[in-house]
Amino acid sequence: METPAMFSLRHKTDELKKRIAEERMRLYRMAYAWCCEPALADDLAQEALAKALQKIHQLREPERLESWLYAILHNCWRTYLRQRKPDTPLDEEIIPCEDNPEQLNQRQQVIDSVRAAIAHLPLGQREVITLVDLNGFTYAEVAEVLEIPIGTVMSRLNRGRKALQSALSELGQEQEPRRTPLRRVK
Amino acid sequence: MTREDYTQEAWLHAYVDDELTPSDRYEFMQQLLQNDALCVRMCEIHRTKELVRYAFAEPPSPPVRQTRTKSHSAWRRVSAVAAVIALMMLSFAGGLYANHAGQPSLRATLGSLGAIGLEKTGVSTNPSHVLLHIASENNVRFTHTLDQAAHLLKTYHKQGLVVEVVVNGGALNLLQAGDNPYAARVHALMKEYPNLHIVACGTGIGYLEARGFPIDLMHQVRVAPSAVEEIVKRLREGWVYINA
Repeated sequence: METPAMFSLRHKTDELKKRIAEERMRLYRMAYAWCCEPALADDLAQEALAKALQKIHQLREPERLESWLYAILHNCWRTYLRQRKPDTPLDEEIIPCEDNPEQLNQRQQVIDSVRAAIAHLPLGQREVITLVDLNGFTYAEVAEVLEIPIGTVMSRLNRGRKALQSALSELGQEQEPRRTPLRRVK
Repeated sequence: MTREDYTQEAWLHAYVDDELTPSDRYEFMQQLLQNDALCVRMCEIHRTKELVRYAFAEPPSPPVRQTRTKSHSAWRRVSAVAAVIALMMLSFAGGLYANHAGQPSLRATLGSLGAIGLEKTGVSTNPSHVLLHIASENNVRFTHTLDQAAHLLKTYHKQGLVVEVVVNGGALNLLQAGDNPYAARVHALMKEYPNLHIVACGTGIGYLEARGFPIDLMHQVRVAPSAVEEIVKRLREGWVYINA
């Protein structure tokens, strides 16, 4: 028979699992912002979700669930990259993504331009900017997710945003969208 | 984080990313008011942040595939199935923990929303004057802000509550007149609650116009010289501030 303590523990675990499940789409979005491939992003999000559910008992501080979850996603992503590019330091690596071929209207042009600019950032900057801007992580949480000093978070954010501003400075000035040559990772 | 951690540029990023303490934030707002170049730089960082959010607000749907790529081992597929089953089971648990708490006081509600005032600087705050600030072009957040305003005005109308929603940055696009899904909602809310006011940032509008993005605002919206100025003015008048 289930004791009150066991019930309480199970109840807490179920709550955590529910919160993990609710992050599914945001995990996918973050993975897509990093890798720019819907299929790969879906795989990474699914893998992170599965690992989180398996390892939920290892989470000591439930209030840090989100950063723990994105650290798992980040590990999945880095593992994937290392399998593709062993012996290469990744943080400053340019890993461009394939752009979408059709630009239907101005809104789509803006979206494409921003995604292309993000894709051209060094990987470390791309990760920091997307974690801060898409998920609203604090600098301290980003440092925890990526396992880097908080000063590195801030400098990457600064450099990354300057690069984005430079790349996107022509947006809205009635110019043809720049199409930069991109290549696929794998 | 302490202020010693920041350089001037880092202060700007920290301000835009809401990393500053309320007192540092207020102090930095004062600097922004006196420094146009700093204000423009802040707008640029804000715009970049909004563009990133905008670009990934709706990522493409993952492709539906019968088989996974070769890199996926069997255990991953099993894990995925287990995860899906867990999700299905957990989706039923969501409704079990509904909150039936009674009506909290205005101060308690504002506290739970992270409201701040300038009590520490000697300003006497008036909780019946609430400023909601939104700066991101985020549909969910804007809807939530309108919901918050409506809830506060409906629940605490007997206390003469006044709510001002101050909008700047990318959120200005959500105040466009014409074919805007929020126009009807804003119109209805302002008709139902005369104490609801919506204020747009004049500096932000000018900045967007200069960049080729002119904004035709809903006619109910008042334009302030700048959002920062409006917020500082209201805080000095004793309003409470909520970063929506």
